[in-house]
Amino acid sequence: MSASGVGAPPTVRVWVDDQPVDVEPDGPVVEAILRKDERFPHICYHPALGPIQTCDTCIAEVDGKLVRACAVPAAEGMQVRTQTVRAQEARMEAMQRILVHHELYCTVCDNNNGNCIVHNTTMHMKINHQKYPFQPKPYQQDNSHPFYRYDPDQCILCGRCVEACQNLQVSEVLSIDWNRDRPRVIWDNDVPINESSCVSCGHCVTVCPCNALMEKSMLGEAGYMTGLDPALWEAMIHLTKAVEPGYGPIFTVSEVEAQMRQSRIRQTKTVCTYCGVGCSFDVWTKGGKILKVEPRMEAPANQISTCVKGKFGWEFVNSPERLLHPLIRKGDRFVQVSWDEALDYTATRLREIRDNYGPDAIGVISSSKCTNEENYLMQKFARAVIGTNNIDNCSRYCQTPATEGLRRTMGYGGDTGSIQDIAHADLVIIIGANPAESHPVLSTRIRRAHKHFGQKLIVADLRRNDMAARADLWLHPRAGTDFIWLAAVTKYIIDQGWHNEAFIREKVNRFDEFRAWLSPYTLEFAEQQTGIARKDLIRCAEMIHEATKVCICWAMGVTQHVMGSETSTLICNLLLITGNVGRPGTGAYPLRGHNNVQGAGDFGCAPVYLPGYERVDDPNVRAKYERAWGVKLPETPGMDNHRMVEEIHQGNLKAMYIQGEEMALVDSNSNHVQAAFEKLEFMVVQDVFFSKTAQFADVVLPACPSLEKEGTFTNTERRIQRLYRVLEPLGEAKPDWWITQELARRLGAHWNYTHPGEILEEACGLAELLKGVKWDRLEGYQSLQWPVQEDGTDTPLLYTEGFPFPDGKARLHVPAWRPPVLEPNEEYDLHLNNGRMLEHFHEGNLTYRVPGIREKVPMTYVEVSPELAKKRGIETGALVRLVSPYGAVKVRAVVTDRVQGNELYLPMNSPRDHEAVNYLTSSYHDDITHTPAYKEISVRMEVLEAKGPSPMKRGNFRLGHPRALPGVMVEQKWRRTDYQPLTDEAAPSAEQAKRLKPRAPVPT
Amino acid sequence: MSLPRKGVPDLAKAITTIEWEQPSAQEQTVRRLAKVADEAADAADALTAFIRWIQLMHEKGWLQAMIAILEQGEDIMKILVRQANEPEYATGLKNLIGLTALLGQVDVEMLRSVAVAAREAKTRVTSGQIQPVAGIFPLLAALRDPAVGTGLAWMLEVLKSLGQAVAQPDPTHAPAPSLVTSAT
Repeated sequence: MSASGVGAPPTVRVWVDDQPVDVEPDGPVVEAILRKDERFPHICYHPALGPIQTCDTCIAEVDGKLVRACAVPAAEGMQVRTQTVRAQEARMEAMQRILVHHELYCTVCDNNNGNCIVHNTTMHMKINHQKYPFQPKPYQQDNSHPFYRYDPDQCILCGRCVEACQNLQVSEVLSIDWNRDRPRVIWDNDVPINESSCVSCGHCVTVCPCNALMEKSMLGEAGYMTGLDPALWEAMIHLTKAVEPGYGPIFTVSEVEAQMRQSRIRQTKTVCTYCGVGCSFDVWTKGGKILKVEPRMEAPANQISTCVKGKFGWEFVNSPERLLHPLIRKGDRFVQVSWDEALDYTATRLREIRDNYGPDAIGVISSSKCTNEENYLMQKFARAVIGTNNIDNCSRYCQTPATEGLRRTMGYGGDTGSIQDIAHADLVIIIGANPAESHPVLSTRIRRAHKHFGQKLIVADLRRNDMAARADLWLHPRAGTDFIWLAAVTKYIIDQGWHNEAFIREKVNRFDEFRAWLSPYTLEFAEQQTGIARKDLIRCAEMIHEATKVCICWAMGVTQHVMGSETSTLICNLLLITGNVGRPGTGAYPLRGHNNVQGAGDFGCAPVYLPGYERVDDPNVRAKYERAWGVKLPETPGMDNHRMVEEIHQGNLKAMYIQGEEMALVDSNSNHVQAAFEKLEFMVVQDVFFSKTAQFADVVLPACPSLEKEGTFTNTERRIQRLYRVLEPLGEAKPDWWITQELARRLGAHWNYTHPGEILEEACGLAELLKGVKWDRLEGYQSLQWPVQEDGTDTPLLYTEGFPFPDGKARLHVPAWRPPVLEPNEEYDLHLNNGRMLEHFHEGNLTYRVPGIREKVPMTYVEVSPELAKKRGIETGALVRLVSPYGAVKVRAVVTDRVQGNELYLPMNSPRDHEAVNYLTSSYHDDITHTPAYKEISVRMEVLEAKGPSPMKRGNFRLGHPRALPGVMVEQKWRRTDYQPLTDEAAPSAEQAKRLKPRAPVPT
Repeated sequence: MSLPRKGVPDLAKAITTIEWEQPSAQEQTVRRLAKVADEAADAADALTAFIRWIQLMHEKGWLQAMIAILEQGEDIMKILVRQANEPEYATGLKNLIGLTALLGQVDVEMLRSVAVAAREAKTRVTSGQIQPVAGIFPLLAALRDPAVGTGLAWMLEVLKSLGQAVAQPDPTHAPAPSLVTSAT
């Protein structure tokens, strides 16, 4: 139950074979039929895609006419008859036409797992003989891609893959060439898959209703007889065809075999370990092997959508490089030891340091990759066992300024709504973010809405990234000046009288003070400071004014500056003065980077906050936790991770316990951070791999990745979801919560958690924000968005009833301007931007250990603009050294128009530690939150080799050429001379059918 | 345990050398056997019965045969499938499957009625209750019997259905549409 949910939507009543069925109005009538008979044929129709109209298998009589049920909107009183002779004959003919394109060999097919739509439909329609024999197509299988293959001989040309690619993922790679004698699905302009612009999201494979598109990891693995020698396999198919008098017996055998597969194939739900979108899906495993990732419509954040990492990026779990045993540093090497030895030693050293120097000499870093339960235990360990508030997590490096901006102005430090709200906005503004590569599934909802539903898009970014290339307006400000143009646009809106006076009057404080502060931020000033043309600033203001629902998404391009908190505050102010908060389709969306960076903060891993953002220096809060935990708790806020590094150099911090964080490479100014680690008297690192950070440790503890444990994650929507154990832990690796508990016990704590559910119940029993979160309320695909009331009512949309301040009103906060640091000068003349790329996550510790991903992007590279490349005499492949006041890295260059002028871009991932971008960044930081100003750095570029082998290898989608098309373009099929219509009247046009497409998939 | 403390310059640096434990072959065997022993202890009764069963299989030579089949599995399958693909065998298998399917279509009740009717008629003929029909007039007289008329109508319908079935083309050999006009 949701606090902000409206009443049940209206319905219409249609009559299906004389039975009443209530459905949403204007949805396709096939949905009504499926409610009565879930086996009703509908091969190409998918609720996430809407009508495609290629298969004709859903033909029914509607009000006396034979129509495709997927393409007709349900209307009150509609009479639908599915069992008339005409309707049945039409559907049968349609299915017979499909089987021309698909060789049925179900028993030896890896897709025969009970969910093959072609198999199930053929069987349920009781087709015993093929009217038209199967005809092989004159095309080879395409096995070029590392993760999936396409078999044209099995392709029924339903177009689901095309529709998914063009209009759900909107990467616009796939199409069907209907002009050939034998049509086929093609990638780009008909190139091998791995030479195309395919981003490997996996949508096409997921929606394929048969085995034409299959994950390679499934081939030869899923069935009892699918791994046969190919010659034998072919002979068996031939024999099956020769001896079958009809399909009946064959289907019986294949059904039995499919049932048998359930004995050895497990399907376990998990939540993605990568970005903050929080995709959930089933992972299919056979023993310790991962067969595939199967997303489902029930998934609340993503439904059937995935990206390359979520769909294909899990082989790292079985990597031979996994840490499997505890290690202790002895001399110049690490030596494998037992768990008891490692834990005893760690506890002894921590106790010694605490006793000698005090609890605040120890710093604890929790992990945004670990579960909520594990984060809760880490902060409990720091506070209740060590006795310090020196606990932090990596949100410090990214979205803490946004949290600060939200908390100052609106009250809660989380996204104000859900991904569905972003999909339904009239206007989306993306500032300093690249969601197409950093939050891929979230960005698909924006792309779909923009392509087909009239949503407008403004992007403010230095790079011409994917979303900027699609935008209706692309603003390219000078680095570090978002603050100025935002203030100018806000002032212009107010000057024009376009602000929402009623909303401000009823729900917002300090308008006059803020308005007065805005006075210097004229359009002229902004144009001069930012480089954005005045007309573009005006256009931006106009677009905001014209839209009734505006969402603003932002990320590191805003927050990783010395003014990150202030710029985030301005974004919130803009939304408030235009009334774009607290309504569906509106709001503030700082995009959380990691799968559980939201949860790490929610569950208290911050120096100032206990779980639920209750302050450590509030005596009432402290008293509550002291009662619950049975210990006295420290009173003063502790050090954040950035400050810990300084305190190490000052000699005040002597030890660190780091869980799942590559601090040596992801904190800024890596040389400075690593020098600090060398000064520690004791360091324990708990991780999945032997990271760069672990190289400095005294003790290394092997931890389990997400697939090997239970728990919950919280995504960028504030949505808490459960993950289930998919695989048994490898070697001696343990879940992080077990490790922390064992350490705590050795330090005198009486912890006796036997399961993460117990930890969650304790944590949520104490935090007001999470009071109603219960383990069993998160069963399966259920989820809760905090705040959650005690009866389980959650809050998908914040601020519908006011703001959590004493008077219920939001507060416009007057920000403070500070100029960016380290701007280009004579010695360091180029601005260095940095961030993520699609294929690799963060620094790449996980994704570089996925062979297929590594094959596609084997190395990092710096992006150089064509104009700069020409000036410096370099080409793609050049080897350059980038030098900043803080360090140097050597990388190959790619010349591209994604960057302009003297702006470079270096991704933060690399397979080689010494290429890490943070060897170049400084220790300057946001004044309020201490978030490093990663984006404020200038370098000089020394050319070592003017040309060389391109670092962009075959398989990199950026080398491809997508083709934006409306979709399958089924009208081309209907115009073919060999197509005989089966319906009574001309099909609805593409425009008419489009109205039946969902704006965004809705979880079932 | 006394271990070196960080802060001593030689030991403060990042190090990458790891000495993994390399258990000897014997130690690995001992560990694996310990794991097996744990499982065996939990299933002692079932294991005892299983061992008895295996012993019997071995004494009768069946175990060796099964081992051979599994070892040669794929090659044996190739032989069988190759042989089965020969026309005479494939047709035989097809007919066998077809006959099996046919059994499902047989109306046993109807057959029983026919058999009962035939038996009763035979009984009446052999007991002399029925005289042979000799000539056209006794035949016409017999046709006036409603039961005879019904039986005759039934037989004619059977002949009609048979004639229609024989005349219909084989559905598995429907002419394939041409490539140009293939159903898309």
